[in-house]
This record gives sequence, structure tokens and C-alpha cells, in this order.
Amino acid sequence: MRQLPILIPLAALLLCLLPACEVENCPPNALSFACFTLKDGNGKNVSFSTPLTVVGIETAGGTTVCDTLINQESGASRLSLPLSYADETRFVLRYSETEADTVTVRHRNIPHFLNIDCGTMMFHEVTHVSTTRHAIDSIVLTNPNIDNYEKENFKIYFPPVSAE
Amino acid sequence: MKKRISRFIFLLCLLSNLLTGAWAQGSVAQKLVPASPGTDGPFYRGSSIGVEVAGPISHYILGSDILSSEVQLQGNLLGRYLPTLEIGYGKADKLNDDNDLHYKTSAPYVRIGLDYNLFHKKPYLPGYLAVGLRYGHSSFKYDVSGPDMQDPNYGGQVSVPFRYEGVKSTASWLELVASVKVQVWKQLHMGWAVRYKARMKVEETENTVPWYVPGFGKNTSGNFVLTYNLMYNLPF
Repeated sequence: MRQLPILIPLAALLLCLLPACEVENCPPNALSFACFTLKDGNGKNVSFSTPLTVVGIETAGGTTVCDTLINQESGASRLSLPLSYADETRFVLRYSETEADTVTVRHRNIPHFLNIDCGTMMFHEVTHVSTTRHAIDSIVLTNPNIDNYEKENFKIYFPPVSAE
Repeated sequence: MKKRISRFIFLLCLLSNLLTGAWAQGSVAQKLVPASPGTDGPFYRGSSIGVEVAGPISHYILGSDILSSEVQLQGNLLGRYLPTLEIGYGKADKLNDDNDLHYKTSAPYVRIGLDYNLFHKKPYLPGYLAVGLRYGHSSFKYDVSGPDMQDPNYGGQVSVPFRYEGVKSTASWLELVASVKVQVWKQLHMGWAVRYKARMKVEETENTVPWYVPGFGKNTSGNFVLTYNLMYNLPF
């Protein structure tokens, strides 16, 4: 009991210090992106030697909105693209003036609340993906869950002549 | 001069005699205190009931958005083991002015556990220091709402409402407790407790994660909390 005069002020000091220890751990990235990796027929990573432009297209309520997401970028071997808040997002991959592919992603949108101090985020679950086959050989869905932790969601396969 | 010196020496001797006498009396008095009964005596040595007052003070006087109030029932076995039941009510009604997110919940919670009296060999003292463990559980519903979510891309054409009401969740956690209890007056005691709460499980949904869990606090992996109890030793 003789320690009480020491213990009580220590406890009071701890009480004063507690708010200082309180840290809200908000994720560094509150946006979610669909991640596409580019592969050749053997599964090796490839990149574009020519500039690539990607335009996202959203159609909702009879209105179509186009958003340029990547503009004339060279050497890309991985694409991080935002999905729209509609049920379907189309990505037009334009390799040149005359050559392009369209990747169509159907998805479910998942509003997400993590913390009152960190705001809200929109996650997505991919339900279907398809593509045109001008330069692209095929597309594979590897992870349907798109959230603020970036990871591979799709593999886009090119025949050897379309990419280097 | 010699007289002055001899008076000074005499006074010194007298003072030292008085001091040593007082010390000796103190030592004897300490030795005369009854020895600790240890585990001798009855198995059941009483109960106490207490209320936590820091939570209500923080809410009603300091204006906190969070209220946590609880009643504590504690038994005393052999003066050493203190089985404890804590039943409380936790409430949060928080609006974040920066992002207009609103979170609301209110629900009861329960904790059960055991304290160990570190001063059980000194029952003559007017209090004790104890360490203990608790298991906590709460089953609750919460509401969370905010402004409509506007798509940051594609021209912001689509917006999605954000409102979830009556979302059910359960939570369980463990607490390490270090507490001090001291007698205030007769059967009335007060006590401080420092608690480290470690989250075991908090049920989430696809859309929401509980921000505040009644009895646990903010939904982080661990929380430090200081509680202040007023307790009354029951006459049975």
C-alpha cells in the first residue's frame, strides 16, 4: 500500500498519455483499381513498345461517358484502371490510330465503410469479362475482388507479334 | 562557552534518544501487527459491488460522443482470488464533421474473469493491488450513413447512396487488467484499473466494419483503457 502514492499519479499520467497513443490507421490508398498484367503466349511479362492509350467508357441511364485513363504511355507492362460505379465498364486499348481492342468488365459495386475518420471506399466484384481479339489473344480473370489493395485481377495474353 | 557546548551536547543526546525511541516504538508497532492469515480462514470472504464512473463523467460532463458505463460484481475467495462479473452498456453517436459520416450504436456487454490479489499476504492493509484477465462479449446493432458516393472518374455521373441501418454484429475480446483498490470509508472503496483490451473477433459485413464496439471501444486490434470504480463491500 505504500506504493499507492506512486501508483495513482502514474495511472493518472497514463490516462493523460492515452489520447496521444490513439492513431487512426487509415489505408494509404482509398481508391480501388483493376489491375491487368500483360503476358505473352508463354506467360512471360511483356510491355508495349508503342504508346498505349486507354479510354474507359461508362454507360448509365442512357448516357455514355468516356474518360481517358492512360494517354500515350510507352513501356507499360501492367495497367491499373478504375472501374465505374455503373454495372459495366469498357476499356478501349488503343495501340495505334487503326488498331484497338475493347475489354468489357461486368461488375458488382460494393460500397465499403472502414472507419468514421477514413471515409468510404468503393470495392468491386467482377462477374464477367470479355474482349475483342484484334491484338489481344485472350483474357483471364485471376482475382474477381477489386479493393484498395492492388493485386493482379486479370491476365491479358498477346500473341508474340503484338508485344515485345 | 563550556556551558553552551555541554548544553548543546545534552540537547543532541536528548533529541537522538527521542528519535530512536520513536523509531523503536514504530518498529515494535509494525511487528505487533497480526501476521498474514494467508490461506487460513474461510474460503469465501465476501463480495463487493461497484460502478464505473469515468465513462459517465466523460460523456455527461466532458461531452464525449461515447458512453460506457458498467456495474462490477466481485467475490473474494481466500483473500487471493477475485472472480469478477462486469455488466455494462456502451453507446456511441458520432458525426464526423469533416466527411459527414455518422455512426451510431448502443448495446449491453458482459465481461467475466478473475483477479489475483498481489497483496493477499497483507490483509491488514486498507487496499490491494491486483492483476487479472477478462473475457468480454457484446452482441450489438449499428447504423452507419454518409453522403452519397460520387464516382471520382467517368464524370461523376453515377452516385451510390451510403446508408446501412440495423447492421448486426458480435464481438469478443480479452482484457489484461491491473487494478488498485483502496478503502475510502468503512465499506466504501475506490479503485483504478488499467486495462489492455485485445480484440479476438469482430463480425463484419461486406459493406461495413463496426467502428465502435460496446465494452471494447474503438475497433482496433488493441485498446488501452483506464477505468475508475466506486465499490461497496456487501455485508454477506
